[in-house]
Amino acid sequence: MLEVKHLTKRFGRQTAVNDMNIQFKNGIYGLLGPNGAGKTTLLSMIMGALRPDQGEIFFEGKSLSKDRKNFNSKVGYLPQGPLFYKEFTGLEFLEYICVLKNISRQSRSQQIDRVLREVNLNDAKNKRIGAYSGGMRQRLGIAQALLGDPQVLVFDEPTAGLDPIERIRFRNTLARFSNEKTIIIATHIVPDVESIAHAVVVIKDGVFITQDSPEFLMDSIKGTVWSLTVPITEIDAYINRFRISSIQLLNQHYVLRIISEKKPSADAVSAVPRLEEAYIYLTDGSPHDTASL
Amino acid sequence: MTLLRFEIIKIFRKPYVIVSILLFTLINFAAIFITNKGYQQWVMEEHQNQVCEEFLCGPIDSQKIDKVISETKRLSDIVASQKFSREYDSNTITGYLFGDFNLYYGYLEPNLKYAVSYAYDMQDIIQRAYENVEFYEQVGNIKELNKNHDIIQLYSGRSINEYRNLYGARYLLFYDFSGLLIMFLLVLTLTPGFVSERENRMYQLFPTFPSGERKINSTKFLFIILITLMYCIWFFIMDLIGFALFSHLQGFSMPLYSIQEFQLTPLNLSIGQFYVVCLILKIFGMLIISFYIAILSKFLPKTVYVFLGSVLPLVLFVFWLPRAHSALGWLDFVNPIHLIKNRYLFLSYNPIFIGSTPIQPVFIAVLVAMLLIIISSIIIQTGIRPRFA
Repeated sequence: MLEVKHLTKRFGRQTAVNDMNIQFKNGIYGLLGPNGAGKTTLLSMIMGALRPDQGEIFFEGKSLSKDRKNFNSKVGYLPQGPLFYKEFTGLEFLEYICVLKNISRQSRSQQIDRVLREVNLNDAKNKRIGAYSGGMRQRLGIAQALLGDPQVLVFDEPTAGLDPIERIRFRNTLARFSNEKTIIIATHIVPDVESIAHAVVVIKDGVFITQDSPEFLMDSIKGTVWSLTVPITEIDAYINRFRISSIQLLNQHYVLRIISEKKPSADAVSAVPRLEEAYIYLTDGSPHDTASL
Repeated sequence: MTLLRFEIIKIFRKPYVIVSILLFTLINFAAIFITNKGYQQWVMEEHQNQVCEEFLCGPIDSQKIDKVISETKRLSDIVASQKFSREYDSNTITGYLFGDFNLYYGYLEPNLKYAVSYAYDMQDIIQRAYENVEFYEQVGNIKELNKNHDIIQLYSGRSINEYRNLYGARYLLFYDFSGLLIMFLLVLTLTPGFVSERENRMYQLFPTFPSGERKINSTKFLFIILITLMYCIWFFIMDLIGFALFSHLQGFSMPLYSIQEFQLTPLNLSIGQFYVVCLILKIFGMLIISFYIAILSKFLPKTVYVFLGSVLPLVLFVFWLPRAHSALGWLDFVNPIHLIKNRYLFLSYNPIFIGSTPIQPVFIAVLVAMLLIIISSIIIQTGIRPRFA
């Protein structure tokens, strides 16, 4: 089990992470928060790239400030927006990571083959990373995190740059490990974790908001999501007054999903909440939601 | 070793590094060619070599001395009489009689004279050193007493028994341009060392590996040493090849003091041995520069800052040049150029005193260099990480 207790990090006067307490057991965790919420800072502290100003991180009951070696031998990490070495081929890069992860020479090629297959990069393994697209580089980053079959996997914005098919492949790969590993996926793209996460941790402005299962979070906002069909000409009025989670064009009308404590219009019908709407409900403190039209 | 291979790939797959090495090697050859040509014409080296090969090279004997003296006198008399042909004369060495006079009067006779009289000049110095020993013993000046004892020990038994055309060897020892090229190659090669890891976001990954950053830092430390050695040895060999091609390189077994600028050198080494000593000292000096660049690369956030931060002080270092024959101050030893342009440490015996014990400046310079290298290696190898990592 991985646990952060009273974790705080400040950069000058700004508090990036404030007294955060979270527990991660086996399963997939979606770490959700808007840009600048402190996700990357939190992960950087867990991964040892940043030192916390206060608080402790525990792995298997032991503080990482005293023993990081055990944690490091059991973790795979994908940092945000990695560029890696454009001079290396994909294969050389994975060999390099194998050496850094102390993976034995005998099992290296077997492991590399496996992770290349997982991320569908086998055909491009001998290409220089400099010639990779953003999505290929991201997949290589995922592959290096999977090397060594780590018990804990930490991904920071893993689906950035991936096309829809690769996103699905990524989700499916993780879903296979979900019972035996602790997987943390930091993202602001809710659909990436919606279908696979066992729990969602929501943070905002460096502060822990909530941690619960997606079902519970969706359940908790029951009765606040509305579906409403409006003429094209009236759309602006709704956008200005309500938190809109989705807009769909249908037969010269817009079908809106509105998050509101009150019924936004007499024609609105209550809808089944989605995780994205729970996330917006918890993190979006923007105006709206004052009165029905 | 496997990680070292990857460090090498990181740098040497950058096309500009290979291009720079090749280009700088060519520039070095061009510089050796151009400067040698000018220098050779200036000292009539071609003709000196001709005379040397005809009869003068080899053990010095009275026959050779007589021949040079009589020829110099003959030419001097003709020139003094003003009755000589100014037309081309195929019977002369240089093509002109006045040219031959210059060759003998300006170069061959003084060179031979220097070689023949060297042993006597040293005996004079030793004699004066003995007198000084007696005097300083009486007045109880231990410092000067020790210094004069050293002089007696260093300069005893010296003589030059052979004549060689040493212009090529001399110019090789005074050739510094390749040092400048090495420094710029080090800047180009080592600037990305740490900073690129940050720019590639690998700095976020390294602490997550079982050995943390320790393995990476140790590998980079080894890589810095390897690359510095490689460049120094590469240009050591290229300089030798260049001088062998473009000048008459000989006399490597002659004592270093056979070259007039090194008349009072404290080293009793051959020219060849001294050239190797120069390489070793140059490596020390270059290592300081390499580690300086590496530290900048570790602590500055962008490649361009590291590049500028490396180049500007190097330019200052180059202009803060060692002074010939002058005693070095303690501050001078921090300048690695003293170890790169190291002949100034050996032109004469100018010891630095620690208490009353005279120490040769080169030992202080090496000691300071080693201290700087150790401090740098600690900074590089420890987990100290800048805030923006």
